[in-house]
Amino acid sequence: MNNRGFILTLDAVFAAFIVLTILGYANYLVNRSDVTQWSEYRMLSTGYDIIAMLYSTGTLQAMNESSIQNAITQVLPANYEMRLEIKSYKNIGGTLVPTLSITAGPDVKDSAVRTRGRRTFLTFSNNNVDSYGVAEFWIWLK
Amino acid sequence: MARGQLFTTDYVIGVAVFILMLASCLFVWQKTAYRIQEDFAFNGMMNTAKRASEQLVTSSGIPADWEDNAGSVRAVGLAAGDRIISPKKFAKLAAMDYNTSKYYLGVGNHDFYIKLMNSTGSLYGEAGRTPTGDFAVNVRRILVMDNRTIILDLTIWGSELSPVVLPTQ
Repeated sequence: MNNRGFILTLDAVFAAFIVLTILGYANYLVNRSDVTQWSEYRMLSTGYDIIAMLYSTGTLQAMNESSIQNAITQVLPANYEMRLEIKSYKNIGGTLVPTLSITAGPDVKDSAVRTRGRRTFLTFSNNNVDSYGVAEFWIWLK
Repeated sequence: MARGQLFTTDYVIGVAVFILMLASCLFVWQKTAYRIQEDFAFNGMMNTAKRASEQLVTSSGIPADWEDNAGSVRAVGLAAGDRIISPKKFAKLAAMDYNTSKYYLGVGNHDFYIKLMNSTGSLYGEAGRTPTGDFAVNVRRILVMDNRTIILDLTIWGSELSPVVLPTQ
């Protein structure tokens, strides 16, 4: 048997295989980036919206765990879970001293899409800064 | 004679394998090109939804009192504070001519629909056109209006996936 034709065919098959692999991987990347980026954006904006909503209604500054949990439950989409950790500090002699720390929501779980964010805030008393707060959230797909 | 036949068989098999692989390559190539084109257009739709929702909930519009000066509007926004919605601004947006509101919201050749609901899902108001197209992306924002929690659903939709084209006016 003359093997010269066979070698040429094998060469073409290898080349085509490489092209197919690259195209398949490109397809995979295109599909993956769409879903992840969009899901992450939606979750992140939900988290920041909730913190802003809690702050605007005064619930965040009140630092009451059950009120915060209730407010989150009312608006959080059914397919999301969220954990919120809030810490407040007081300025005592130029040093920020932790005064209160509360959490709301379940423990953070592994999920295909999970994201986190943080926002600082102030509370006031008689037009003076009373305390400095940090609210950090984790949000993920159930 | 026998050597010629062997050559023909070898040739036919070689050509068949080559055509098969070439056809596969062309098929996957076309599929990938279409997918990238579709992805590009879909990304445009998602970016429009992101930008329009941010504009609505974090900006009061240009000028900031556009709801009182309909003739001077250059961009619409609903915010009376950080993620706090003004009911008056929303009422003005809902009452505005659809194509005009589309232009000032900057959604280009896409269509939009905004739904405001309270936290139990009861409808407070709507603006834009109800989606009827095959393609849509939705953004849900959680906001405050009149000291109550309110949910804004913005849908950017279209009958076909086409890149955003901003109109000139």
